[in-house]
Amino acid sequence: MIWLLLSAAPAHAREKLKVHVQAAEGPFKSGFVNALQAGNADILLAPSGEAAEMIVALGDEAFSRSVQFGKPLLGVFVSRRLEETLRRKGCHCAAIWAGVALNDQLAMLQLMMPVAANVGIIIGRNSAWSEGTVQDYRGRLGLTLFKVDDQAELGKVLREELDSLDALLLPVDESLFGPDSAKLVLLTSYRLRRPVFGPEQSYVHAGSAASLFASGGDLVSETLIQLESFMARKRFRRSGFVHTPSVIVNEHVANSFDMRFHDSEALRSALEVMP
Amino acid sequence: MNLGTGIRKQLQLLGVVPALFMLGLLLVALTWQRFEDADRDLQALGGFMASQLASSSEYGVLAGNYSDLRRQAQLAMQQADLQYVVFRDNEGKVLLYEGRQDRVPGSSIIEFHSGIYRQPLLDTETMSVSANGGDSPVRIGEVVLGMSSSRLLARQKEILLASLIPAMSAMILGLWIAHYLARQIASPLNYLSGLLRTLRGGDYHVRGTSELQGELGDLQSDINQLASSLEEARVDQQSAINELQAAHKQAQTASQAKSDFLAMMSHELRTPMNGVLGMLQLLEQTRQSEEQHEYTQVALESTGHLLDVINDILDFSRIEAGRMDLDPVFFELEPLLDNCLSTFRYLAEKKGLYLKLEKDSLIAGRLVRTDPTRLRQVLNNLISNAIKFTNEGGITVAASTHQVREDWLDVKLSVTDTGIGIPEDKQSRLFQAFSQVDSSTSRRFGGTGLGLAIARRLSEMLGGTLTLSSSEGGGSTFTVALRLFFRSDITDDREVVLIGHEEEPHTLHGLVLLVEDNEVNLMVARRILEQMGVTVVTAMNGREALTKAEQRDFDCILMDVQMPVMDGMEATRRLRQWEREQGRVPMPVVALTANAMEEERERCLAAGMNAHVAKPFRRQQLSRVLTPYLTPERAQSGR
Repeated sequence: MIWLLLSAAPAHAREKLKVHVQAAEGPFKSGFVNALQAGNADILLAPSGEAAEMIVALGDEAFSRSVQFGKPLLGVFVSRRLEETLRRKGCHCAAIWAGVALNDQLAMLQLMMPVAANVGIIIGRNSAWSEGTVQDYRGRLGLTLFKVDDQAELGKVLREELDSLDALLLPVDESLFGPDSAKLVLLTSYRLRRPVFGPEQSYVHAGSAASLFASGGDLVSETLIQLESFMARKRFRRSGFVHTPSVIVNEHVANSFDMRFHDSEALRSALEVMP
Repeated sequence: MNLGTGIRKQLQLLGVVPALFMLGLLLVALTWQRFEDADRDLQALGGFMASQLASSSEYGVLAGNYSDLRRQAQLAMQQADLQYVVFRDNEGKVLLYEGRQDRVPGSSIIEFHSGIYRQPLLDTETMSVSANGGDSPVRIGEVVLGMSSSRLLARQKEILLASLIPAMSAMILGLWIAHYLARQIASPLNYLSGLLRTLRGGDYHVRGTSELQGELGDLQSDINQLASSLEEARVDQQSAINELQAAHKQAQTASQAKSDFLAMMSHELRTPMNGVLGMLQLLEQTRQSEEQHEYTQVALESTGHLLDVINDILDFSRIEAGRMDLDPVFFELEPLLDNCLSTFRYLAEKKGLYLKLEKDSLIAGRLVRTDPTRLRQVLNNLISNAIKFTNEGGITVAASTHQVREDWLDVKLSVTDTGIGIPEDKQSRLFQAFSQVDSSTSRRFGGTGLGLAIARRLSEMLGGTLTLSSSEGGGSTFTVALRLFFRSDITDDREVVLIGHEEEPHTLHGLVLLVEDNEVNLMVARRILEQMGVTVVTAMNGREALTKAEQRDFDCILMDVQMPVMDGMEATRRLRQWEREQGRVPMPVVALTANAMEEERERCLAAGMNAHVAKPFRRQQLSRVLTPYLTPERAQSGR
């Protein structure tokens, strides 16, 4: 990853950009900052938002708080809905959304389950994917969208609907698919012998068959792209998901469901050669 | 008392062993049961935990959620006995292993397996299995719990301890009770046993005073009665013993008195007898008419008979008192037999009887070992009796021998007469003292009736028998059977006594000191000695004799024993002491005593005398005793 960051750094000297990284203090923040500096020497860290030319906010909370500085704001791993809301309010901001693109996940699902035809997708109000996104899908998979407002509805939906599906794909949605609901979702699905994909790495650890996810490196790379774009044109690129997400496979589940790829490396290789 | 087999020990064993056995059985059964319970508890716990873990790990196994499985395992591992948890998928592949680092090596592990099932979907609203689920539980893996048996072992130890402590307490209590009861029972028995031992030790005064009840009380009472009886018996016995001792003492006193009387009588009879016999012998030497000579011979014969009677009485007395001692020596049997026969030949011929000796060839040249004096006495008695009771025919003395071993000879000496014989019914009385065939015999033939009794007793003392074969009118045969030690080497003269005929008195030479207080005997002895050719110096008592002996040497001293002033014994002792002090050669001293008892002879020799002649003596006897000291050679050598 460090190598990727280094390779992404421009070879010629440019005007320095004072950036303040707004995030909860912790190892993730320090690692993130170090990686940014290592990735681009033109980035200067500002000790506060007031002293910075732009602000990088990690997560929804930091993103929301950074708006007050009135400076260009790049949200990293923030919910799509929050970014869109703030942007509609006039915030000079852009975001790397939490999660990965629906098409990427479906492509991965297709690789893992080539015979799957009918995939169910449950979304809520804060999900990374909107109803429109799902409806805009033009791939060969048949998608069935289930809209739920809170976790209490999940069980009922799953019991009633899973039987007609080949697999279930979940978006990043902290309110719906957090740790509290994982067991419900996964156990219900597996008792009905239906594999679950997504929404991100920890869910795979909890039992999801496989998922693409935005890793720390992915986010740093994407952030560096945005910062270079900002330094070059003084404006952000369009908000969106990371372009090259990482992939993780739950080997046990993949084996249980006799999926095509049983480990992450094999799946990554397959994804890289996809058009 | 041997504690190993004592009644107390046995009672303790009887009281304790069955109880201990039953206790042991009960303990084993209960402990076993509790072990089973503990094992069952462990099995139930393990099974329960495994099934619980299996049901709670369904999600983890289905989802491959190792965090969840680890969390489940760690929750389970809070149970201290659980050593490890293994989750496996349906193909046996290990999904997760969670084990303790501090596992005790070597501790045994009990594994519990439980299948993990994918459950059908439950509709939480209707609490029914979802119609969509439909299927029954499907096995998707298993959980394996490794339970340490240490807890079970610890539990078993606890059980064992919990069982053993009461058991030991019960055992100790049981032992104490058994010990107490055994002591309660054994103590009276030991007490009574001690009582009996005391009684056995001879203390019959002791009585049981313990407050015993029942059978033991009866036993103590019986022992007390027994002690009383024994005490009474001992008093009676002691009384009887005292009486017996008194009687014995009395008998001893009487016996001593008898012996003393016999000795005194012997002395008192022999002293005048010596005078009579001596005078008759002197008279016999004088010139006499035929009638006078005949009278003298009859008087000598009668005196001889009287002397025989006295000797018989003394011999029997000595035998009865156990004072008859034997003096066994090697000697030739043949001369003794010849000598015996020659003694009686004159008497037999006078009665017109033949007296002959028949002897086998083995007798000649053999030395047998026994007391010749006593054997001669037996034979003389038998031959004398035979002549006495035979009027026609004669007497045959037969001697036969049979060698039984290399150095042992069976000798049979028989005296057969052709006399009146002895009725069979009276033969048994014949050997009894003071008994003759009938009183008429005594009157007819004379005698004390002691002869055969003495002969039989002497034969037995010589190690043989004296038997009789006779019939009335058919003569009698008395047989002396002896088993004698013998040797053929007559050249070895050790202990050999030569037995020969009595010879006529030799003519003797020398100076003799005759010590005698009785004037008659002094005269008799002096005349006889002078007739033998000896010069005689006289003394009337020991002191006078001692004085004379110290003044001049004598070739021999004839010393009476019982004398006034100083007796012969004391005089001899003083003479010997004087000779030692002066360094002089001892003068021969021959006792001349009327005491014919054997003890007297020994006393004389002990006092330092050289020989002993019993009064009354015949000239031949005196000559034979004095010959060694008064031969011409000795006399001339001046001693």
